[in-house]
Amino acid sequence: MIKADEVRDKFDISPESAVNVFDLCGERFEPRIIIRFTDIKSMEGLYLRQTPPEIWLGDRPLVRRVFNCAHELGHHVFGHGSTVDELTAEGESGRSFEPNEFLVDTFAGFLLMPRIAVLNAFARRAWKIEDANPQQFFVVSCSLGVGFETLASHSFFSLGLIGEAAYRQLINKPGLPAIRKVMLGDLAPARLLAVDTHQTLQSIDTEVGTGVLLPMGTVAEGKVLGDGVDTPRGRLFTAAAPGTARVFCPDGSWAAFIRVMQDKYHGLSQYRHFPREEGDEDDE
Amino acid sequence: MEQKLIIASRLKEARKRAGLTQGQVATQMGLHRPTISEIEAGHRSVAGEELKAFASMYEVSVSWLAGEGAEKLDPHDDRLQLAFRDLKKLKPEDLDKVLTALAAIRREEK
Repeated sequence: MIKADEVRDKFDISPESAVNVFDLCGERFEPRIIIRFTDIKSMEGLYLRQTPPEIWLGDRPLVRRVFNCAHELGHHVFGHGSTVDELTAEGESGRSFEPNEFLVDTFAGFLLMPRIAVLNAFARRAWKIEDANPQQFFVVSCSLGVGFETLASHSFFSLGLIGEAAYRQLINKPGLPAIRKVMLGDLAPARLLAVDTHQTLQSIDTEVGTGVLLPMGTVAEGKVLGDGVDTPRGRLFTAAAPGTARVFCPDGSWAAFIRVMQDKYHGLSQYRHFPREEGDEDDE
Repeated sequence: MEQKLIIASRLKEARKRAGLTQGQVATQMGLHRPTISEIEAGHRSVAGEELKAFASMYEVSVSWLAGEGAEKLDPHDDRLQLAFRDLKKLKPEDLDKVLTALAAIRREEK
């Protein structure tokens, strides 16, 4: 926890704010940490202790890659040797306890979700974490760039901000598809990123094919996001192509950048949002 | 394989592993896309400065791009500080991908 705070302090990241761990590794650390997104399935992540250091991320959903990147960054920050972190099922039990792995998991949790950032995320939306509903937890998890279950677990086990009954209720039911359904009815996409005006990051990452729910009346520049559809919860777009879209409310009240990477992207982190021109796929 | 073809093949492999298309590389390097295509087909030689620029863009070593070293790293290679125990966690096809990619990456002397 102290190391995670130290990293935020060192790079002047407010404890109230979300952090983009890919940008943190690639743009702030000196020497720069190279991040490679790979198509390797039997690996969560890999840390190479060398100059320059490298973190490789296995083929996982984006929010899992975020956590795994923070985990591997933990190995770097604590000065551990190179390591491969293998595939583990969520909630897997029976694995031997490895102190270094526990340490860097804790680091990752507190780097991405420090207590103040979590409390602030709920407070600025005028929600109370102790009686927040699953949809509210989902919106906050999106704002922190982490998975819904990751936020719920961290809020219960590490931060003690919710009780066991509330945690069990979040984890056991209704599940992400049902949360999306409650939020968007028949328009609910298979993957959803919910962005509201309380977002602390100016640039928000997502993947092609993800539904992006933006504040009511939002306009998206360019063709990175498809046409928007109005819903009672906001304007729903679909991430259509890699690139960066400026999104804004015409009244000037809110603006952000949505950065879209290819679905199941593999490549270097710094190129993940590079737009593609027509015919670019021919040389794959 | 002829040196020029080895370089061409490694350039293509490194580009794909970097997540870039020929069009994106051409834009970044201020070249025409067909030029990248010609280089990767082994039809056009690459100057030393160009090779350095490709290596920097793909985050790989210049010497590997130039055709030096093996296609795949030996798991017991001294440069590899990963415990062999760790690598054995991977499925064989994934281990192969890791060792192949490791052979190409840049390591600076400490």
